[in-house]
Amino acid sequence: MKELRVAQTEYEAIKKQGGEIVAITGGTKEEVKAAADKHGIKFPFLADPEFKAVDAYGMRHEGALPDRDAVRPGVFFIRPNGTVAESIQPETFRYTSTADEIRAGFERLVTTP
Amino acid sequence: MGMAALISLMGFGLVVLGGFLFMPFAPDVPVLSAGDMPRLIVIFLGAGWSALGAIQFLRHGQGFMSKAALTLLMLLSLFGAGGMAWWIESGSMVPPPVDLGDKPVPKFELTDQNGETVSDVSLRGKPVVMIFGRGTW
Repeated sequence: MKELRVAQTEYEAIKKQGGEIVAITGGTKEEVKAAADKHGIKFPFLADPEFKAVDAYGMRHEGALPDRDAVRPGVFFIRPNGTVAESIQPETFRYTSTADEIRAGFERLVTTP
Repeated sequence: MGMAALISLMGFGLVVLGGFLFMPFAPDVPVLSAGDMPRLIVIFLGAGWSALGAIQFLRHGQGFMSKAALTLLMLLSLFGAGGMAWWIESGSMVPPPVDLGDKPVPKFELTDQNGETVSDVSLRGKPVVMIFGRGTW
């Protein structure tokens, strides 16, 4: 959840430039709603309990938890035409993207043709 | 069981607790740089405490067997701390990065926290930062 709290701090600035942040995680609608309320997440936070989008993007971390799979952390910067400009994909789940990385990635996304 | 043995056992408990705090299901997965420090301190404090208890026992304890047992406990704690550190490190690795290429991103349609539907199509026309989060804990 920390990555989302970090992203929330950048949300106003990104929104002002016509951009959008979306977050996707496994978990039910109720869990996502509760987490969004608890952490003050204002951008769309999508529940993907069946890992449909997670699998489509190849972001499943198999056997991550003793009883289930988890989503691996990652950030994709997507152009208005729907293609990926760049991504942050850490080697370990013990990594949280920083506000600087999100800001810099978004800046490159809007300034690079 | 003397006081030193008790201290050793408590230290061993600390090592185990420290290890648990690193697990993926522990509350809020930490950042390696900042958040991991307190947990590492707990693990190695536990190992040190355990070793201290064992040394005290070796100095004041009686009989060969009890000394051997305490030495074993001390070694277990030290190897436990090292093993935990290794386990934590290797267990933290995720599969290699994915490359989505130059094609449009995969299709999806999901519901957000307000019950609104968001899809790959509804996001077209905007620069988007898409974040995959590990979980809701």
